[in-house]
Amino acid sequence: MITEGLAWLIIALPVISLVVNGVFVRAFIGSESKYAGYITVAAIGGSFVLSIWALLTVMSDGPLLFEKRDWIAVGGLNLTFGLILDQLTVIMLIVVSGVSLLVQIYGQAYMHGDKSYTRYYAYMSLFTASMLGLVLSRNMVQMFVFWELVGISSYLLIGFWMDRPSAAAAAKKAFLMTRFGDFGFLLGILYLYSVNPAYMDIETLYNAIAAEEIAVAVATWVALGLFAGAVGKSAQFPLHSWLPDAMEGPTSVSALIHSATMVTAGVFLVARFFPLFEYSDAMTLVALVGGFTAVFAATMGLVATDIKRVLAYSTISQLGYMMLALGIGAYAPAIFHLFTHAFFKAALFLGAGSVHHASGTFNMKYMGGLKRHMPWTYWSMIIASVSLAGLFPFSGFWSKDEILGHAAEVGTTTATIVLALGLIAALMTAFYMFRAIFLTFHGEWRGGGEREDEEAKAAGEPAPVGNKHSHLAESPWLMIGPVALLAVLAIVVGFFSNPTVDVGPIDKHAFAHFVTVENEVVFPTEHAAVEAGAEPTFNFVVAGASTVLALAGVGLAYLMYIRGSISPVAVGARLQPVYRLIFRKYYVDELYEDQLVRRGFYRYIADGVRWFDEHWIDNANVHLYTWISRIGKSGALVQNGQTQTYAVGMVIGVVAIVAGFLLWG
Amino acid sequence: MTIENVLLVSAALFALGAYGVVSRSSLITVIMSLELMFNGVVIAAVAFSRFTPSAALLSNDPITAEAIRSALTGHAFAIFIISVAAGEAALAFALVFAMFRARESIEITDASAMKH
Amino acid sequence: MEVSTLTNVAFWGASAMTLGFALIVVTQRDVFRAAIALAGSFLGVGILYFVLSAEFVGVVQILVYVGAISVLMAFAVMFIQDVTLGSRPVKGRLVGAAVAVLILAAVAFTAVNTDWATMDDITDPVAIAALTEGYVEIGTGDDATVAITAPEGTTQLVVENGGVLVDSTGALGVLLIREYVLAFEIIGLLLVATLIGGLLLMRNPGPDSEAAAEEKADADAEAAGSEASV
Repeated sequence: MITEGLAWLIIALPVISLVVNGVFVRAFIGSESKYAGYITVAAIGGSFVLSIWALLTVMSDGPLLFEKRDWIAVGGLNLTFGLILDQLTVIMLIVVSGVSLLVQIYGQAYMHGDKSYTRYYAYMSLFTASMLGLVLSRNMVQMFVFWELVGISSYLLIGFWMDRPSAAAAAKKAFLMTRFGDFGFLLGILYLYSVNPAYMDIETLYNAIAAEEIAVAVATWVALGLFAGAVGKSAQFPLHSWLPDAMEGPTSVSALIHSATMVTAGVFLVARFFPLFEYSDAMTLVALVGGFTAVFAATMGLVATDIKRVLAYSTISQLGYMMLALGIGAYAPAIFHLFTHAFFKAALFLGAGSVHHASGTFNMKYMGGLKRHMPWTYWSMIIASVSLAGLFPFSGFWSKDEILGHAAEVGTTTATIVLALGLIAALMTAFYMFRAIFLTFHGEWRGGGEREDEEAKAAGEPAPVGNKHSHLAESPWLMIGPVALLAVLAIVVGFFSNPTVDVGPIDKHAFAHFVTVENEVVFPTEHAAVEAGAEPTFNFVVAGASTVLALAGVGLAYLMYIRGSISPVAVGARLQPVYRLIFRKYYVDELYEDQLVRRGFYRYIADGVRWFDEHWIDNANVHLYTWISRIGKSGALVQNGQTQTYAVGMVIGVVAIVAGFLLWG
Repeated sequence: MTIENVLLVSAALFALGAYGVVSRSSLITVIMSLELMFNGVVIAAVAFSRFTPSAALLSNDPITAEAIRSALTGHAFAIFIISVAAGEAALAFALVFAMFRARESIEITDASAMKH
Repeated sequence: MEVSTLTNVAFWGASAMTLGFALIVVTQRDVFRAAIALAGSFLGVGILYFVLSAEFVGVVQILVYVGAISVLMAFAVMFIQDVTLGSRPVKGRLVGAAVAVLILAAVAFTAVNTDWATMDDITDPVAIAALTEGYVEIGTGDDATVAITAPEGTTQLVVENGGVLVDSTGALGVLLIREYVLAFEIIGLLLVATLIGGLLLMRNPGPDSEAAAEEKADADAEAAGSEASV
């Protein structure tokens, strides 16, 4: 039975490691000390153990709501804070602390020799602490605080190699774009606060929704605000373009925050406030945005040359799946997909890091034939890719098909649209993922980092940053270990946590039941739980269709990149305009950067304000002085020294007084 | 000969004097115009005494000799004004001399040192 | 209160004389003519006073203004003014004229529109008797020695003292000594101050000032000139 103190310790341990690393180790031992790594791994390991304990407690005793404590009680502002340990939180705790632990272990080898090693682990601890705090929060404002902390950690980690201008720009872009979303989130919070301050506490909010005390319109606006925040953090369209650029950070950072944890914060937010979303009219929007993003991102992944960018687009696409699931009410499948996705995506990213380690580049044009040199990495990534593509019996199959099956079952127009989008995306997912695998591991070795630098120099362009000398061998155990472990989990976690039949001690649909039926806080009635996907039926048609599509995708990739029977160059030439559109990422970046920022904001708004400031405000005192002095000088013209003028003045004055008396008594 | 007529005459004299003050360039003529203004005022005072009863006479208190005498207040006023005007004329003459001695001219437009 | 035609004619005639001469004073370029006209204007005002039953004031006017001040003006003109130069017109004449008209309008407007209390408004019978009928004896004590009568048709006060008819001069004298004694004394003081001030302004400059040096230089030049001529 976990106590509140231990629950706080889950957050506190990474904070301690942050402080120790950031202050003491960095100051006293050095910025390259390996102790930083040990401390962080120990702290996060501790958090992971406590999370397991929390999981066991919740599995046996049901959801735990710890007391709300007074936070701010000033005048009319009354905020509480506290911890909530329901099933959703506990799943997220496992995911976050588990993946984080593996990534920290991986980082010991990956970041070995980096001159800011200590800082890296300090930031990693900060991030983990923020994310754990976010999922444990009981009050919306408290959640927002951790949300912003997560954003800051992301900024710090993406821009980790600060001397690279591209990294700095990417970090700034990420922060500003998510800020945009956060603004919507804040507006939602403020609006809800203005309706009733007590609704800041999540339990109170759930009760109010169940009792239908909130107007649907209010709920819709609040939901839209929250969704804006989720769109920002989870890189859905239109706030998606920061995520591919965020690959400038170290690969382990990408593995942690841009695959499994931070970007899932958006999905977590929608899931946490699922009753609110269901009650409002915003679900359709959520589903459509998710579905659209799933396809949109997948198209961009088809033509990317940088392996990390392929994975980034894949992440965006999968997050789109999760959003669309939540949008059609499939709560349990969405969470399940989040759960499984975390493992195989993290495996893929960490594997990509190993690939970089070996080939010296991230550009797949210069890789090839690595299968021979790094078999462990190869097989782990194959497994993870198959899982991502959603082929039986790997975990991705189960989670993705539950989503699609629920969509088919619900049958509304929205659900049918997103079903179609989901199937299209499945085809594309399989294709691009296997294209990446084939380009990287099969075929002939194409030179790696050195060759890329040579060719860039010959073409007169600067060499890509981050390239290093290739080292065609398997990665150290500290790196392979986590990748392999994650790959294994990618195989088994799917079926064994949510099986369609009873398997030994595990009940049928254990996971789905766990997050819905047993979560009385969120789903007070059995009916609500069932609606949310507690009993997913296995839709053979949909499953079959998606498997066929996935296999088709794999096959197409095989034909194009291994057999070479269909030349990718020829295809690209045939579909030149489409190819160009996708390759340039639909010109979204240009839209934002040039039109919105440079033209709209800088030229019209900023320059306009500056002109006003210079001409009116800065000159205001000059104008004031000029006018006053003119008035004064004109008054002084009366003093011309002539006595008779003064006499006239006096007489006029007297006449005026007399007239005054005459007219007004 | 009603009081309005006399006051009209007095006002006309005063106005003429005012015009003279502001439109003559020689200091002596300005002083002459000033004297005209004085005369205008005195005529008005005397006219009031002649035509308008004083407050003491209008009140309901028993009449005393002082009340009767108060009808002549205007005349007393006139005497005072004339005395002061005479003194002032003498001094003005002295001023004219002083200005002449300082500047060799008594054009009033030349005395414009105190200007902006 | 009705007045006789003669009085009216006298009034208007005197007014015309006054205003006519005053016009000459303010418009004539020749300063000497202005000075003479000024004397004429003062005379007109004196006559006006007699018409208004203010005999004493009229006499004072003629003595002081016509007799002293006009002469003073003539002196000033002869001593100082460059007679050929005259008093030329000034730039701000029109403004001055406008202002003068304004004053006239203001006063005229007030005069015409005010409800003046007239002697007819006196209600006290004793006062009426004193002012309109004959002899009235008032009270006992010091005041009893004064009997005031008024001939019919005028408000001119006649003070009768033991049967001798006296004009307003006596009453005025008593007024000045009794009610307005303070003002009277202050006027005396003022005249002394004026005297001293005038003497101060007209004083010869001291032996060490510029004007004295100038005078001395003139005197030396004269002396040298006269010596040379001798």
